[in-house]
Amino acid sequence: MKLRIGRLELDKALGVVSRAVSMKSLGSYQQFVKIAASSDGIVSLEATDDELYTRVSIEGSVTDEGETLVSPLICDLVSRMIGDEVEIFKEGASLTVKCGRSRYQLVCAPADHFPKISDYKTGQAINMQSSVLRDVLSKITFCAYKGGGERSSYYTSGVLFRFTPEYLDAVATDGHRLGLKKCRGKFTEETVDVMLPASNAEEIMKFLPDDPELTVSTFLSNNQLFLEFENMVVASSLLDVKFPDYSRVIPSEKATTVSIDRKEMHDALRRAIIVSRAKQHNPVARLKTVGDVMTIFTDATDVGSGEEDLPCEVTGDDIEISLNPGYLVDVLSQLSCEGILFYWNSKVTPLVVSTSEDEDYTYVVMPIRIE
Amino acid sequence: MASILKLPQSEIDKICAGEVVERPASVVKELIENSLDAGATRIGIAIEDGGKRMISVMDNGCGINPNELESALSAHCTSKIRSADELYVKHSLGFRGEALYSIASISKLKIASRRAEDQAGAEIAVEAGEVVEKRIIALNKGTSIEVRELFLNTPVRRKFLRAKGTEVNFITSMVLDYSLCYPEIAWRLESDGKESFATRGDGDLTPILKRVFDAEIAQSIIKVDYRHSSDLQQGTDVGSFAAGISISGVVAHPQYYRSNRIGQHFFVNRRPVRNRIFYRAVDDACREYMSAGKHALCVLMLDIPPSDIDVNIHPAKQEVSFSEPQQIYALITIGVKRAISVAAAEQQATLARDLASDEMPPSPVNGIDDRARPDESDDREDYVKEAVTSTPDNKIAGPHIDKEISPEQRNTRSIPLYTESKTLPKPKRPVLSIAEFASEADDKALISAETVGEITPEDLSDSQIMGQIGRTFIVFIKNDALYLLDQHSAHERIVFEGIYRNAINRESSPPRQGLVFPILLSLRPDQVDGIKMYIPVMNRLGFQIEVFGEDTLLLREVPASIAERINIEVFRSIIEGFLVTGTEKSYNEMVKHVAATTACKCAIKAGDELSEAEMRWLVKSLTRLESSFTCPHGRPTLVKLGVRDVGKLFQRA
Repeated sequence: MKLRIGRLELDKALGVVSRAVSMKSLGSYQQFVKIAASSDGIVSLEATDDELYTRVSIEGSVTDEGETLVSPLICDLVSRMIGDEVEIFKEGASLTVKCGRSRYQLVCAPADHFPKISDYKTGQAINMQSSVLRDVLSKITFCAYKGGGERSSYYTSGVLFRFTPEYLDAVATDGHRLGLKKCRGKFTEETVDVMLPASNAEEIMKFLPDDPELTVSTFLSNNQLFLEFENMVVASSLLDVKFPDYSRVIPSEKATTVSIDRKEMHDALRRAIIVSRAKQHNPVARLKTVGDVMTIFTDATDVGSGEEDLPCEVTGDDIEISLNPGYLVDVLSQLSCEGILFYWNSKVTPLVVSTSEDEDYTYVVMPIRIE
Repeated sequence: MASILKLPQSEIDKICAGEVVERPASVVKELIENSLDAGATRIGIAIEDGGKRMISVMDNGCGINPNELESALSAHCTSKIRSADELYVKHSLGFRGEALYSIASISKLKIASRRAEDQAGAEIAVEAGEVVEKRIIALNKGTSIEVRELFLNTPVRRKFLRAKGTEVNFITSMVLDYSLCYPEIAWRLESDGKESFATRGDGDLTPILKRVFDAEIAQSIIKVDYRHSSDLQQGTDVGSFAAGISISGVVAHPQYYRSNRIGQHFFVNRRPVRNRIFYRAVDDACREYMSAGKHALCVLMLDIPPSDIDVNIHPAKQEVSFSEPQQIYALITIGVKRAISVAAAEQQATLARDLASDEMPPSPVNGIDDRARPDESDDREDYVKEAVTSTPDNKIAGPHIDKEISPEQRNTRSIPLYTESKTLPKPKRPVLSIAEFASEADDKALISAETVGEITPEDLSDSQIMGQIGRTFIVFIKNDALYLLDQHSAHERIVFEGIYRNAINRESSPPRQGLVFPILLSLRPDQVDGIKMYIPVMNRLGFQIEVFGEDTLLLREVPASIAERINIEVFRSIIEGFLVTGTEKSYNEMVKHVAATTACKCAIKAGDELSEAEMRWLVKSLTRLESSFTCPHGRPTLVKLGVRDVGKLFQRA
């Protein structure tokens, strides 16, 4: 294998691919980046940790075709090298990477063991704008349960995509709050449920450019989800668990609507958490409106207490509810709109967060009951 | 000092009865065994108030000669053996001639029986061992025995009976056990006039397994059927001894497990037994598929010539000793292991077939990745052959379950990208034995925990966290000393303090976090009954539990302080913890007990990988507590090694 390739392009591609290299010591292809050069000038870079797979194809001038596995150290080297072009060639069991005044030989391994990705374009593609998919993921993924361990086989560790002829629903929950983003449009002929592991959803979100012009083609094949866009292919394993019926969770009634400034609320909650989290792992805060003022109360035994007053607009009865302020901070930091809306029914029913900019987004926080 | 006198016979009888009759369930057991020995095909059991008020067992067996009815109630009268030597060759369940006599001496007992050849039946009523009535009655063929006011003359024993739910639980579990051994018999159990369990007696185990485990698990079971065959390679532990022995039954798919032994049912010659050899054998057979501390769900029946066992260790016959325990161990281990690996092979074959028939694209890694298929070794194939050729003609009516197990049912976990090369779930981490570690440490007497007393709470908040060893102990340094913290017992203490103090220091329940989706836990109706007394206590601690139908618990809210630690598995193990230890306590003791059980089950486990932030949080939270240096069970949470202690390890005086 021998090729020359633009350093910036290669650096960008390696930056993407290296995200799928496994950090755990599996001692096999999962810890390497695969480089393959074909005689038509296409250089493809691949990596997988068996859960997530990435491939980026870039153009270079290939003198000798071939393929090899190489340590992900190549990513750091290329990003720090100085020069416009990188020369890569294989000699025996090492791969030489040359750029400017630098020359490095990296130990490499045969690529025979690296899995060959099957032809995934067997079914109908589901096409979405990259910016839309990115927006969906950013508003939903954080709702899933972050920890690993045995819990990773529950519905709390995944993001559900329900594709239907009329809409797409993306839903995730950690059991105490739930996010739902609806996108209208025809996605599939019949309803298809896909459970994407939350950790992969988070990675995919980082790969997607915030570009409304760019289309992402999605394919379901062999219990895997493939996304194809620009010069990239990303594949994720899927969770084989059933997501409970989320439609029942979202209250249909809206006894009270509160409109409030997102940034002010966000800042106030972050201050309140300083006190309430000082001793308790899971903080508690109480929200109460009187007229056009919302007060956030925190009270931690042996630590202290605090109050935050915020101007707001209330339609309906005054509200009062206790909840984990962390769940509100999470959603408020994901949103970028100016104002947010709370829908409230009672102190024992879920609080709904939405925005006037995106009415198809619903975030539900379960209350904390204090007697 | 009182002089030494021989006790009157009536007092001796009460003492002896205590050996056989411990609780209502023991009465049910003795009566059931009599019915079985009488060749019954239908056995009906009815209890009132958990058997404390009334127990009756009715059968359609051979009946008793009316002239012998009275002698049936005398000590050591039996139709089953003629000399003590026969004890060791006997296949019948009862034989000591103690049961009826013992029960009669501590209750009001009525026995009615008719043989097929007699015109009418006879009934005899006994109170505390004295015959009070005899009469001739009309009766169907068979025997019925009614026991009322058990322990009427042994008030202490009566006092020690547990809550009704617990006693019902004992009886139900036992009847279920017998129905597993004797699926050809139609069983019916009635509690307070309500049918709680019935079988058709057609030999089908599936409905019984659904009841013993639950419907989902019963769908996924793997059949075990193994006997030593003569072509087995020499060198295994199963020598010539094991020729007449077989092991049969079922194991649940290893994706299902419990952290206790509630789901394990063992039988020897169709008799329920408890034996450490079974425990160890099943744990070892499943070690490859589940981590330490997890136990497979199983029903295993050992068929063995009576001359090779001794069941006469204890009158209740629940314990059994084997003449060759090592070989029994080997037989069970091999039997269970093979059954699981055959199931794994089938699963793989089914998967491959499905893939081929759907004309799926070729597998990305098929035949390439050697690492991912360690099970495909040669001896695996041998196992398959061996198990297929092992003789199915054993006498125990083995479970008749033909349900194909689909791969979807087997594996509800994340499907890896390249599914084809995977078989059963592998343990996620190396099996870790704390017991081994501890005993090693004891032997060498390396570390003494005496210095722990010096630690003061402020000391450790900004320690330097070094890391985790064995994914079990957190190592950190502060002020020239090395500290070892047990992550499980430390977190257990933190959680316990949180929920227990919260409950006793407040007038009302602590804050409760609502759940988006309530957790539904399905149990057996008798288990739900057994749990009911804990529900108010759990609600006091911040759970919101409701009984939903007769066999389901609904969890709507959890204590806010541990909200993220609770999922269905944790909830299940908390509930099962109560089933194991169910006993009547004072309210405050119950609160403490429930808090300790909850803390234990939802704490970080040995083997969980922790981030540095989590370790720091544990150290900080633990040292902030007042009584932080032992877990609620009394094990230490923290050990300190000063420079002098370390010096000793290097033999620097």
